[in-house]
Amino acid sequence: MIRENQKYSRQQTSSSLAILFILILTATGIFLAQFNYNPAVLQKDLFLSPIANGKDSSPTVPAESVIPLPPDMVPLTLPESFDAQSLSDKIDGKAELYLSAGFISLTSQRYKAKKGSNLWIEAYLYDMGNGQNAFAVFSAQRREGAAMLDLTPYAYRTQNALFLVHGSFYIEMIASEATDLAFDTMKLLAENFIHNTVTQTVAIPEKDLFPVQGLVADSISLISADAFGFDRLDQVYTAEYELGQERLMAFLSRRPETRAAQDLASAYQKFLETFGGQSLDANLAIKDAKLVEILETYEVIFSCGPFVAGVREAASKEQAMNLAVQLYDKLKAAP
Amino acid sequence: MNPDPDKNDLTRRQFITRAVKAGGSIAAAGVAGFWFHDSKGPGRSKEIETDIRLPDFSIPDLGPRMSIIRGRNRADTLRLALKSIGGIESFIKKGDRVLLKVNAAFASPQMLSATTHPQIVSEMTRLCLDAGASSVIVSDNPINDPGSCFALSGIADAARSAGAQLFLPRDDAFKLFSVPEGKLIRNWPVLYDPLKSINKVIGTAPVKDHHRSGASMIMKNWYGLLGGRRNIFHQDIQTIITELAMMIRPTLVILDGTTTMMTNGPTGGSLADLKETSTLIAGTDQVAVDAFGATLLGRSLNDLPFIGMAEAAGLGTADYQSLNPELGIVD
Repeated sequence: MIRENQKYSRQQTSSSLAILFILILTATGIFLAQFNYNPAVLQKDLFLSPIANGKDSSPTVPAESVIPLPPDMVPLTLPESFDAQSLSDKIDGKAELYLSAGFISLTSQRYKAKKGSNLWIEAYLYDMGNGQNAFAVFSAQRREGAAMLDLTPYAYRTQNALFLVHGSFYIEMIASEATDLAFDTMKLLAENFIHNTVTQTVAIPEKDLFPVQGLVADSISLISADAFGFDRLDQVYTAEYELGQERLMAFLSRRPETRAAQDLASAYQKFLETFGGQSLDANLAIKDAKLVEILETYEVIFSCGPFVAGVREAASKEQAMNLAVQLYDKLKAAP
Repeated sequence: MNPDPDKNDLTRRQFITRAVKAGGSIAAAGVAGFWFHDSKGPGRSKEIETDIRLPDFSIPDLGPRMSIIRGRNRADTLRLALKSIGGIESFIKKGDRVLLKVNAAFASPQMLSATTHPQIVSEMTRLCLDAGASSVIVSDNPINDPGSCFALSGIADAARSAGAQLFLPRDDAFKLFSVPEGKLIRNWPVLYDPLKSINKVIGTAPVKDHHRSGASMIMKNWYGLLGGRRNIFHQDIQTIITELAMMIRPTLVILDGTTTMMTNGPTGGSLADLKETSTLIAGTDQVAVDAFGATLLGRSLNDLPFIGMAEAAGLGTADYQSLNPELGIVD
């Protein structure tokens, strides 16, 4: 009787090992994924935390003010403090904007006029960790057509509010009325905070890297994360341009090193292609520049040293390429 | 003679043996998968039974009704909006106990349109009481401290001066509740005390941009009936808004688009965030009302998935034009 020889071919052994390897990978993936359930579904015991009990924050005794007050203002409510976990308890859905930009803490307080007026003002003092983060949330919420102020390099006012950056702080002062008294009081509060808060000067050297011709005043912004819907694009400066009848945007981002910038430029091009973008011949005086047509607009993407940069939302190819070349020339000369 | 292993020749016996072993392995894997499968998904380790039920506050006999009124004076546009869909007496009868669920989320001055306008509160209260309602309760569970929110928004004064009772949330006013077929609102604290004593619910909210959901209007307004660490639901905001609409079937809704918060919602903070859209909408179909509200924000239904999700859940129609809304203008 012939005994079966249990030896198998090399091919069979390799196939078996490959299948086993895939199964182990799959099991490992499932094991890791099961630690990441949607907490909104899982509803961990978080919801058994104390419920809002209607405590009134109005002080029954004079409260300390987090900002030195003008003589005719007094605290209306106690100061409130919020961290990353509790920020949405104060500003609800807008918290995400701050959390994605490096938010540390928020202190807020309301003040009212001592007498003769119904005016009250709420001050929001966001500690964003550094000046760039503060500039990011400042620029993301900048109101169009607002009047700039000379309180700090980045400050503007609207009819009833002040918004500014001071060091690592982003500050909002919001008044209950749109009057001269309200503006003067908010300005005084802001000045008192600035004089009493020691912090580093905000330096945004990237703003000088954008070409000047056609640049829309005060349009330079910083996107901290997920710029243009691409999760790998973070810390991206953008600037709006008006060239002829066209409005378009230039962008740049400093990466750790040249290779990283090159890789990111290629990755962003591929990202656009996955959403229907068509890569065209760039024919530009920029090494390895990419030209993509997407959603009836044109985008130019390139890298220059440690910068990934480009132009987007251009209605015409020519305007996109012209602005891209100007931006490239500025970046080449950058220190 | 031993078979050559490199030739891969199988005898019939070897093939059958291997096939049986492979089939057995596949079957065992399938049985194991079926054994471990949990169709309900993860949940609290201890499911708490709740006997709280929320009635359907709608009036089915009235059918879907909607009006869109243009004008700047909220009291005037509100009166015409209600008259256009049958008058307040179609909704409120003698002896009714009414909950006016406002948006008092923030301690924000009324001019910033982050909360229900006091004029809507006072006029709606007056109309209900004139129609014979025995009581009108005004309530919300604000995001900021309730006392400041109701006071500084002007809602408290408006409610009291018109004869309404103000209900501020307390710890013991909440009960655990589950939305039938809900995935998120399961054994979740809901502001139940004002709901248990009433038989009519009117929801009223301004039209606002919202950083996470795209818009905050009527359906999102029911968020103010949730307690606990409800901000956890922001991670699935479209679903939670849909479930809120499943939770509350109101008698009537009033969407205030007189001044719309176009950007920087839901808190706003600057008059520059606002646009005078001079429109007030009243209706019985909260999905249709929100669908029209989206147009005031310049948003499409694709921008606001919760509207389509609510329609798919059978809560109303996103095609507000199919309701043939009554149109009007107040000079």
